[in-house]
Amino acid sequence: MTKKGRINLDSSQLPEDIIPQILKELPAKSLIRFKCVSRNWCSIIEDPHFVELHRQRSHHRPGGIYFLLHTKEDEYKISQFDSKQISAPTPFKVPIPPNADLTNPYLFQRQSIEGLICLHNVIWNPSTGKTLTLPRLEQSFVLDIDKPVYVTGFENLYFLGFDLSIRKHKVLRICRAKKLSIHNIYEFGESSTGFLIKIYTLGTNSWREASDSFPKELLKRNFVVKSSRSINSVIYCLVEGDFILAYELCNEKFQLMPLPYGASCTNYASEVKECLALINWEWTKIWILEDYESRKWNMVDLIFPIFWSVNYISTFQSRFVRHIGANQNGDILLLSTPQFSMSAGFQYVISCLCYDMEKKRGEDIFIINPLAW
Amino acid sequence: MASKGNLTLKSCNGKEFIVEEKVAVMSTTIKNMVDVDDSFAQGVIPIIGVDGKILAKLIEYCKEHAEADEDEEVKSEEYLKKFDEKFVDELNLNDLYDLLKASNYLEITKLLNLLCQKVASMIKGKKPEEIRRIFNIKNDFTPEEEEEINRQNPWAF
Repeated sequence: MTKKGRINLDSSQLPEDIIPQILKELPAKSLIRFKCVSRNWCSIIEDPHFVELHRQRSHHRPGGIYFLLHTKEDEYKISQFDSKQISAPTPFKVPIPPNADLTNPYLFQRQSIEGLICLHNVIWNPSTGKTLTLPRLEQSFVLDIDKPVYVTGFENLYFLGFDLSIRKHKVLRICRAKKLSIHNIYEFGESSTGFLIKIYTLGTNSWREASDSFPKELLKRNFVVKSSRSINSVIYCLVEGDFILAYELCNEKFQLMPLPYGASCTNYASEVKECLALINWEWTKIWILEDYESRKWNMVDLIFPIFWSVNYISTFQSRFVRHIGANQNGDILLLSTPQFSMSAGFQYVISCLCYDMEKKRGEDIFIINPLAW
Repeated sequence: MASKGNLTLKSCNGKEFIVEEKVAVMSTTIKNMVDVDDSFAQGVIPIIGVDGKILAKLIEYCKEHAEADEDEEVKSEEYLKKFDEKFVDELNLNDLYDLLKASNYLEITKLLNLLCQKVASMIKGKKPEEIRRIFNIKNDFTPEEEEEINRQNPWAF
């Protein structure tokens, strides 16, 4: 069909209800762009019924995964992964270079949230190549003057998500003062004195307060986010102490959820078919949050092929294999640590593994050689 | 339902197709006709506005899916996926357009979704002006309004 150069689907001859049916199959970033096609299209795309229809359909679409390598002070090499193959790495310049140890660059992975990637305080649009630096926070901490504490620095965590109800990207920011007190070497924030929790809607120009529903018990503990994932208008953070901190972007509320029995926060938060997924550190089980509202988890046993255990044994044991997501069929995708490979010409390469949970079958799908980037 | 036998479908250009009822009722429209009125189950069901070529295509699709629904062993999900891919890839643009209308009219949801996915994949990366040409849509925004919509678009920074 693509042989024909010009596509022509005269919509004046199409029944009215077909256009929404077609539009519901499109990714949100296309819909945003198509709002200016006509008044009719704009009203279809903004219609609440359509938004709900699209939300339900988007469960079936896989999100993009990008691999990044910090190569120069202000430059990353970036490569897109479409669950079958990986594109050639392209350079990407960041406006404000983050602090990083460039002598030991490591390959990391970012999920694309409806077409955008968040790298600390920079939002990057891989399609246009443009970046957006998030605004600074114009608020300082109120420190409890009764306690002899000294702020030694700040730690900022940024989480990008997409609010399907208003079709806008939002960034959650958790800023924490690192304090030095006479009692502990480091005592992390207590009550309002050490935390700033803000939300930012892309297209606006300021951070809004988001701390209202932040669970009080987390303010008191040593708050460490092990990993995070943004799926279907919810940002999930795996928090030390075996909790999941979920931030619902539609109503801007935090929820605290326990981990399923047997899972721990050392697991890498990932996703399978638009559901949060966690693998235990022994790599024998995966938990999938099938229904967020009812907190329904489904547990699946994993039996990896023997050749993986042989080839990647050290990495399995040291838990450095990372679960990066799933492809369209729901096969889970894993990434090994750099391995010395004979078949790849005696080089250190990273293998990507694809595992079929039903058939308990797996295969290597490609290798990445970060040194060649 | 009257009988579990065969139904006769007649296209708008007079071609008749004898199909198993389970195949025909993949179409919600036909299912409703048969459920409500027994006489349809015995007689000929006219399919208005759908010609023989398109009706044959529809039946080909429904047959595969009806059989798969009955016996998962014989036709696995994988098999159906391959069938669907081949089915849409082999369509030319006119057939795609006609099938889209026919599957919408006959309420064959699975097929309609499949065809919509195909169209979506064709238009996904297009510019708004290309979309207007493809669907023959007149831009009824003033340039100022269009600019305002684009300005609000946080993604296109």
